[in-house]
Amino acid sequence: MSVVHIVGEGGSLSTERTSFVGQRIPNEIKVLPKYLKKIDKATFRKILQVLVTSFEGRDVSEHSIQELADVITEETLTYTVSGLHRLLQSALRLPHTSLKQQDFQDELHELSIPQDFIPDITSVIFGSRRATIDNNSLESGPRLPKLDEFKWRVDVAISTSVLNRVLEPTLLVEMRLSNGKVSNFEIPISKFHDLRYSVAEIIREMEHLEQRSILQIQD
Amino acid sequence: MEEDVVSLLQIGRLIDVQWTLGVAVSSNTCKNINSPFVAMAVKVQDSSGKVVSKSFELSLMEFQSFSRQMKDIATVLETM
Repeated sequence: MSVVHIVGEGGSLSTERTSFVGQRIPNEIKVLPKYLKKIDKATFRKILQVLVTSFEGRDVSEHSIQELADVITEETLTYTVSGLHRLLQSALRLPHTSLKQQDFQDELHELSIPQDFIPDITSVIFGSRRATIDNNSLESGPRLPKLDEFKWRVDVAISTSVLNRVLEPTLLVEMRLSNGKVSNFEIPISKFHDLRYSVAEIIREMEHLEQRSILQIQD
Repeated sequence: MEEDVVSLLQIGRLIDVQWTLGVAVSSNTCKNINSPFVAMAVKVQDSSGKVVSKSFELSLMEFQSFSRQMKDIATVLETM
């Protein structure tokens, strides 16, 4: 957690640290309490359910939105959904090791979120569905295509249109990427040794990193 | 004259043929393959003037069939 000394506006934040929403409270979150006061707990839970569904990467049914639009005004629905979305997203961005449950609840209180709604919000961030949400965020983030399949074959050329009795081994490779691209190519032995050296270097580098436990991000 | 025929028929022209006779030794799915193959690279200029390279591989059976057809063509040409 950051050690920057920032005291909340009321000065009541007991531990001095940056809030999970960032140094400046986003507008969506600033207006959120005003609209949360207009809805009851059942409606609030339904909105939260819709947001969790979307964070988990599943499709939100039009029916569930319509159901909400029937009980509250469009304005209230818009502001509560966008405010809660922003709030949850800011909290979900942080690894759960660096955001303490008690701090989070204190901060929700600071942000004037009605006391009644705090346990439900907390259960989204610290509950059992967090793993599914994190998984989805990881997969839907910007990523390069992945290697899906790697096939190889070693050939020995015996004779060619330009050279008789070559007897030189070559490596034939087919790579299938997750974006559907397929590349076929031949690697001469000398280049293959370059590749092998590079891979060995990467493995060594990775072991090095693991030893220094940089990969294990902790509080 | 020849140029006219080519552009009229929208057919490409064969620029170059290269081949390799090799033996597949081993692969990720099969440790000992030891089967011969013929790899060919064909360069063709299409009717728009663009040169396209195509490479493909033939098993021994496929190559024998291919070579038989070439021989048949040669025989027909000789009788003309």
